[in-house]
Amino acid sequence: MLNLENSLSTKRILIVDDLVQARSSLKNMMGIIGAQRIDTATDGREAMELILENDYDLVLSDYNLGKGKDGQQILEEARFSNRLKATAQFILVTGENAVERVMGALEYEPDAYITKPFTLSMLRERLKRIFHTKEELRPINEAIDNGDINQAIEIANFLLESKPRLLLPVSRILGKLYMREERYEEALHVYSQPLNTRMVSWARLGQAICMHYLGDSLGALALIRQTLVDYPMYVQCHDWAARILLALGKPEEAQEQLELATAISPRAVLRQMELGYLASQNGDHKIAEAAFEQSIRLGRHSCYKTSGNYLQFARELQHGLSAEKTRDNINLRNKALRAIDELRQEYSGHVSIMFDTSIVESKTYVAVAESDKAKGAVDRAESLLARIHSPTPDQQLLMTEAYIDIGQHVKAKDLINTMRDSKTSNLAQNALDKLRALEDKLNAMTIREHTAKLNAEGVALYEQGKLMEAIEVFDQAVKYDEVGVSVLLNAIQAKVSHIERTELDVRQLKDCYVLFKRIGSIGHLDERYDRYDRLKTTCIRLKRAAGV
Amino acid sequence: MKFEQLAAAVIHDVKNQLQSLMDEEQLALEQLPAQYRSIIEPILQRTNRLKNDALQLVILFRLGQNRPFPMDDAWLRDSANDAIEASLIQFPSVRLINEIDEDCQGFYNENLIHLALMTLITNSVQAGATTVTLKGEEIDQASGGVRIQVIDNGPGFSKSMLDSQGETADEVSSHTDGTGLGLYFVKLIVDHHKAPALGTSVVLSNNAKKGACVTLNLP
Repeated sequence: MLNLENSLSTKRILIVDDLVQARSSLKNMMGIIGAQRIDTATDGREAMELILENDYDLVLSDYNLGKGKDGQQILEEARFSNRLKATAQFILVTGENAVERVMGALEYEPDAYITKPFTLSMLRERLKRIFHTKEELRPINEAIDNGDINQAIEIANFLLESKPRLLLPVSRILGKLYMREERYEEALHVYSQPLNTRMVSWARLGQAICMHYLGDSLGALALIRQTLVDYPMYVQCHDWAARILLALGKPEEAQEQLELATAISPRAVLRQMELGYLASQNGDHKIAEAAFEQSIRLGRHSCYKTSGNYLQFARELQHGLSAEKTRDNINLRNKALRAIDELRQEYSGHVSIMFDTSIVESKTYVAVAESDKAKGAVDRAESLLARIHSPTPDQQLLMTEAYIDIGQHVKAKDLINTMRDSKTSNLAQNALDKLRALEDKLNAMTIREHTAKLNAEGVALYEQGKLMEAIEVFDQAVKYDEVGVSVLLNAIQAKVSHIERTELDVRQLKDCYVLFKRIGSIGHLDERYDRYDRLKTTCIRLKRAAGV
Repeated sequence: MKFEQLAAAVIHDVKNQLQSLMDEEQLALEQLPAQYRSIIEPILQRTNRLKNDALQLVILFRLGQNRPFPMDDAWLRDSANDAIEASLIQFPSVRLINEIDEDCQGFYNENLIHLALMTLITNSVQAGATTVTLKGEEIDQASGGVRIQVIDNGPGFSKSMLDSQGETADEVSSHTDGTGLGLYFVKLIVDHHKAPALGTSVVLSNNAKKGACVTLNLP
């Protein structure tokens, strides 16, 4: 067995624990058994700062670190940001109630875990075992650190045959390597081996993932559900159940699984983000809003911090906003604006992000009917877009939509034309669809404005007694299919008045019937019913009089 | 919150509080002059007993809910050492010997086996043993199966207990002279390690000359 004192003396070590006594006790113990270069951190944030600054050979972190990140998240971030080599060790210190969660981790698993409470001699023995195993796995991990995955696979297979005692740790690494290379058949075989004789939760999950990628998603889902019966707190099973359900076209059920996962482990940023996007896609904006709010809070001091969370949070809030001046509405508005402010402070040098921020800001103001502020935000977006060398179609579409929102239809039309002229051939189908939808929206709005103007003009002429001129104007308005019932009734009214006052003009009378046909039937309770009924009775009378 | 969850949380908290209390008492033992240690030691022993009882409750509660304990590679000598160290707080004058080979590797839940061994050591000492020896060996390398023996120099098992071999945990405990909770608990733990298609067993026997032997087979 290896000499622990020698091994520890050269290692750079980080100890993470939020409790001062536990931290200093572990530091003392590590000093007694030979460690010389020890740093300590009180929480996940400090731990990550140290990990980003220094190359640690060993991290000993408590699992439960109070309010901030937990130990598993530190491990995930450290490995995610490539700040911890495969040859470095991460050991989680955990109470017996959290062992289930720690052991199940398939993607970012700790090298080992030590269950609390432990004494000095327990720690010494445990570390000896852990270091001994890690030393046996060193050739695989060195190959991984060198980026030579094929060699790592080769060595792992050799170790599996030559050292059956390493079945579990080697299978765990090998399965992951095969999956990374998308060699799912081989990964499935690797995960099946330990399951022949042992009930290993991570191997069952590994099997299920391989089955899913090999096309048997239903079988994979059944296996995951079976594993969850045995290990209901196995959070990664819920994650994968969600992914598989999503692939099977069941986004609502996928969301349920992610909600279960976040209830068990609410502090994982990536999981919260996944839930946020899925809930948003499902139209469940309350859940999405909460998930993005958590993503912002948890990601604030992590490598997962992203402007997307802030933007998406503000977008989700917009769904609940209205022009009402209620306390709830004002709170929502302020929440969205605070997220926007934080974005401005954190990403001020990023033009594209600032552009997105201004767009979201304008939409927030539009939603609460603060049109001046909305216009100010659109102006800012416009000048930021001008600074972007080659704006993407998405950015141009967002700008177009913002113009439409605040009634700058000419600018919107110009931008649509620019996109059509320069990029039609390059636009993806999705962008083209959006462009068409915006064009339709713009056309409908333009027509609505135009016909409203014609209607107002017609009414004014009618009131002045200029019936023929009023009829001409209403005739222009009713040429558009989009005009409403009121305009159609106005047009009929003008024609009927003209017939009654001047001459029985059959052409105008026939026009009235065409317009009635367009109106269709109107219910008794409709406020326009009396007028409709009166005009219809008059037309029938005129029709009889005309003998047609 | 469900009653079960609430109860589990309370038991868990009691266990943690007792562990903190033990840490404080051990610190006091280290810092106080030697003449005061004899006052603190019994307090530490009773706290340790309470903590172990609380831990048993936590585990019984979970076993009662049929929630599995995760298993992993584990080394029998280390598990035995841990149990011996924890038991020495309670019984400092008893001779506890670990004869398990350093490389003896198994596949089990360390916490459960640690507690089973502590329970068996406690049973032996309470029956009057002054020496307890722990032995172990691998019985199936492929599955991580191990055999553990706890051998003492006490009075041995009564005939009625030896006759109850192979019966259920409840029946085993009904034949014991004490409360029977200890053996019942050990049998529950061993049963929890039942591998597919393989059985587990707790075998009681008496040594040829003097004393009892409990054999745990974990396939």
